[in-house]
Amino acid sequence: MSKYNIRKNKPAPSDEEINKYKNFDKVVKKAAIYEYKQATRPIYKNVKFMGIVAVVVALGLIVLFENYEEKGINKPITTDKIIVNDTGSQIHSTKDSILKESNVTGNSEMHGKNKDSL
Amino acid sequence: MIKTLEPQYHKSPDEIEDELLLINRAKQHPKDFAVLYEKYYKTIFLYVYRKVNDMDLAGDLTSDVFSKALATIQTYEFKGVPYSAWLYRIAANEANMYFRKNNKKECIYIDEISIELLNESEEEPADECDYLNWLPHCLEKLKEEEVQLIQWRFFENKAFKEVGEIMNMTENNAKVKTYRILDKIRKWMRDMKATKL
Repeated sequence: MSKYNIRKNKPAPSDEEINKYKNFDKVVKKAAIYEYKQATRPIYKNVKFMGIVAVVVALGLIVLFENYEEKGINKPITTDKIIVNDTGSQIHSTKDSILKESNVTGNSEMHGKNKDSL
Repeated sequence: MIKTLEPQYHKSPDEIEDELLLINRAKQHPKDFAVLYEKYYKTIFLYVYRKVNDMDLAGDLTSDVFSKALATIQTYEFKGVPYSAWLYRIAANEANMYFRKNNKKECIYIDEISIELLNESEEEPADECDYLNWLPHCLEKLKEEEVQLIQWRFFENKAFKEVGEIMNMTENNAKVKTYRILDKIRKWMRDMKATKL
């Protein structure tokens, strides 16, 4: 069932019929009531206010999660790991987790921190 | 004979400027709003009446439109377009709110010229009777903004400039969007015609 009812040829009520409904005093009274309703509208129905509240809550949540991640438990420490060959030129660079040693391992691996000292 | 829909846009820049004076006066003294009320009452009443097809209801809704316009006149910002565009927007919202709340069908009056224009690019245009039966289904598939564009242009016979002013978009944008919507409608019409055959 469609929500539109299509008809042909527009109706044309006479000016007299139209003017029968004209009442400016009624419009002024209705406007005063509408203004009063708007003024006494509960704050939670105010779209602007609720929008601001939503933004503040969203920002609060973002800050909260940021802090949580910074203090996070078991967060892997990532360091740059650079693998160099015997002549000292870099052959591979990768990210490695939970690597706390910073010295060259064996004769061909070292961590980023010590790269410059070679 | 080729029929064309050539709505005239009557508002000159001087008229729009004069209207601004009336609006400013109404902002200071609500009683001065009566001039704008007198000027646009018939236009808005007829627009609402064509949508609801009931004189009493149209009278009530028109009165709501003007009371809202009066209550919010302090927030009205002049953007170089006629005040009627603002009133039409309130009227369209009021009417849509009424249809939603009361679960009523919206009436759309269409004249022969509009039917021909909507049907024009078809090699074998649909029968007028079929067309009137299919059109509601096509409108149903469109977004609310798209239906409004078609309504202003073809059912209310407004110039693209005025359609743009009412819908808060440029004249060109209104034109492009309307023709895209028409293409969609024509495609759906062809599909329905093929299904019928």
